[in-house]
Amino acid sequence: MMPTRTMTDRLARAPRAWMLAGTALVVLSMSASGVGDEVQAMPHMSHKAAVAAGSSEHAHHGSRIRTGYVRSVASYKLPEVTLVDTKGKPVPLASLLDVPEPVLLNFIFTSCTTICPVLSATFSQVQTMVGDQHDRLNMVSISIDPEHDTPARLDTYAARFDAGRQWRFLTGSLSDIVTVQKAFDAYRGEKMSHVPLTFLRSSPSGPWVRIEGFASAAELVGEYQALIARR
Amino acid sequence: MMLARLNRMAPAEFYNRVGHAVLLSTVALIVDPAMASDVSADIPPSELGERLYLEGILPSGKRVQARVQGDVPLADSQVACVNCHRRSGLSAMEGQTLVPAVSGAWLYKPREIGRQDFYETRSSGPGTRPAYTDETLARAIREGVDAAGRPMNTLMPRYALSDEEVKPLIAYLKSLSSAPSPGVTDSAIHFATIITEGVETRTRDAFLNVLRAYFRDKNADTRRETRRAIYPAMHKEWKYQSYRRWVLHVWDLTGPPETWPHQLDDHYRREPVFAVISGVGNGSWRPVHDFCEGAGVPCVLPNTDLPALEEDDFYSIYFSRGLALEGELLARHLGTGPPPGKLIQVFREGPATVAAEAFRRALDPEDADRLEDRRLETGAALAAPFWSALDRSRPSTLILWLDDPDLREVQVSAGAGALERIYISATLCSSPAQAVAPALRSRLRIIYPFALPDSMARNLGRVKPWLRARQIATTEPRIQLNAYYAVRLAGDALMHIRGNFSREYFIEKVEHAVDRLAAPSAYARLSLGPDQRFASKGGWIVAVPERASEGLEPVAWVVP
Repeated sequence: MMPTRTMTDRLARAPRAWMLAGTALVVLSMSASGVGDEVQAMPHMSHKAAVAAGSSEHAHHGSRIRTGYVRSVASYKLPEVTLVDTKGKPVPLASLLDVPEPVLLNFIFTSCTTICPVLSATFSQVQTMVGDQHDRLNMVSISIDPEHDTPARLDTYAARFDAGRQWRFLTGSLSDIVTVQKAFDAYRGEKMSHVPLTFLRSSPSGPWVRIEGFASAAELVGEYQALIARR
Repeated sequence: MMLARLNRMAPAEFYNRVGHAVLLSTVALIVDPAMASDVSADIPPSELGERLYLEGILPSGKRVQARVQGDVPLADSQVACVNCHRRSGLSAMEGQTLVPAVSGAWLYKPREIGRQDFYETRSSGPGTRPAYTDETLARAIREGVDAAGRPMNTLMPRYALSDEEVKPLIAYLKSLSSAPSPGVTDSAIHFATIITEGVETRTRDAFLNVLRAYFRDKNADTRRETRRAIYPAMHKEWKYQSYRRWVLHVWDLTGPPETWPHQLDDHYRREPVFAVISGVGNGSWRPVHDFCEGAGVPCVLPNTDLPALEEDDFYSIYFSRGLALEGELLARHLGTGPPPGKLIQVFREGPATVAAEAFRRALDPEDADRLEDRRLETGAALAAPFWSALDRSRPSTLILWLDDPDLREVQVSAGAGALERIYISATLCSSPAQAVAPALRSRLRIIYPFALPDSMARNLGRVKPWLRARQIATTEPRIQLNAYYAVRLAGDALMHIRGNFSREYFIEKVEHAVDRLAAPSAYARLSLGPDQRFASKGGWIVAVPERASEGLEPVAWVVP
């Protein structure tokens, strides 16, 4: 019977061990079970940004369910790769992102059944919520399954989410796509292991805000507004 | 008026619970029981529920509305339950996100940690919940609160459904994956493999040797699995009780393809199998495809150059689009280079027609206008007049969708006018590097949808020890390697479905397994995802160096 006790003990202890493992893990486990409060304050996050994120939280309180995401700020070196848009036209990534307006970026694949539909629906809702301002917000979704997500498939996918002109979908060669994911610290090996990530940047000189987990559309709009307010 | 309508149709309990203004207005707009009863009067509840689960269509015929993440309305195409919970409803995993099972059998029993007959179990706290009831299940679907009263993951949409609308869905969930699929008994799981008319005995034997050896290994009982299935260690019941002996049935399809559907029905009646694994086809795989889709039998990775090109079908999974892929990838390749000039494609009626037609369809319209077809009747000779006429047409790009015997008859003059490129198919021709006269070799490009010879040799090297130990000669490397890959994949997927013998779940696990399976195949790269049906997405364009002994030289990897 001893081994049995050890096993159940281990199960019972497991959550506590995770709690001790670090803030990030705590945040993720809370968001996964849906019981956590939003966590804005991360050690590597500026006070100003924390306040900004907090304000968006209050602006959209209401009866909204709680979500959880981890926000951090990071600098990424964009690789010199040329991707392909939904019309099959080559798009140098660095120059696409080198625009004075803010950029909102994520990684998706069209046959994903779990994470991407929500990420894309959230982008679509952000597009609706920023309304007239949406021409000023460049949205980019990069496929992490480039050999399946041909320009034509991405085009169909974009239409499904009513993507406007300011929302570009990109695919490319497998090696270029891996390079881009690695540049954003978003590469998790095979596509089915991916995690929800969203990136925001106010201008080419600014750092990226990295959002790990699921932010609601209102929270993303809040992040966006905080970014342009500080420009 | 809207409120009056709402009062009439939605029981007070519903909107008392859903105190959500947005949700309320949505419900008011979409719920109309009068209409619902009109449309759905004759349809049994579980069928209405199935429509909601698979298509997101309400009994009224309208689309259900749902919100996710609190404020994100789901797009029409995303709203159906099947998008996340999949056909089986038996759980899915993506990244760190678990989509729990929603089959009735799973929902209507409590979730506990530990085991019933252990002295220690836990039925409260994280990871547990009481059994759902119809009431708590309706609450979960509408409000996102689980049976234990905890809010569910924010990824679970909150559905605007009335009491009347949620009932058929619950009825459907109760029936979902409730009975094991055919082909599985208490002690055995039955598989078929299919070999069609026209496959040589030599090929058939080489192929079957691999499959049979794998099945023999699987059933060797080296870890006393049969005994452990009956007397498992207490904490490993879940693992060992799902053990089954593998039984292989070989279905030979003979005579003309028109008679195959009947033969398949006969085979299936005599030997109802869980799935069809691998196979070798000469000619179109369509009859087998249609049978498998009709009977709901998975058909995993047959060796065929002519799969049914149905992206939206469920049960058939192929290595690639075969000859159609060759046509498509050549069109893409030509589209990205300099203008190909005048194009002529030569093909004999039969499999090559599929490549030629796919090529024409995929070509830029402008180039397609400049493309001429030289169609050869079955049995018609390829004599000198044919080639001199071709020379006089002065093509700059010549595509020869020809097999080895036909390619031996090629008489294209090396000095012929504008001829810049000759493309040939590695699927139709088994030794493409030697296919044309040395003087033409620098202009030759091969469409090569397989692993290149050096990587093929490495892949084969990984399986050869296993084959040698079982005294299997590698006389048909591609077919044998693919057969090996298919059974390994089936084994991996079956391990992951454990005791849930659902064919749909099996397919879902196959979709997942391909990207992480460490088994070699005859292809450069295999990848699947949910609802993806062709694993190798592209192919090589290769050149032949001056000295043929130097092997093949890749020019481009092309994904159409």
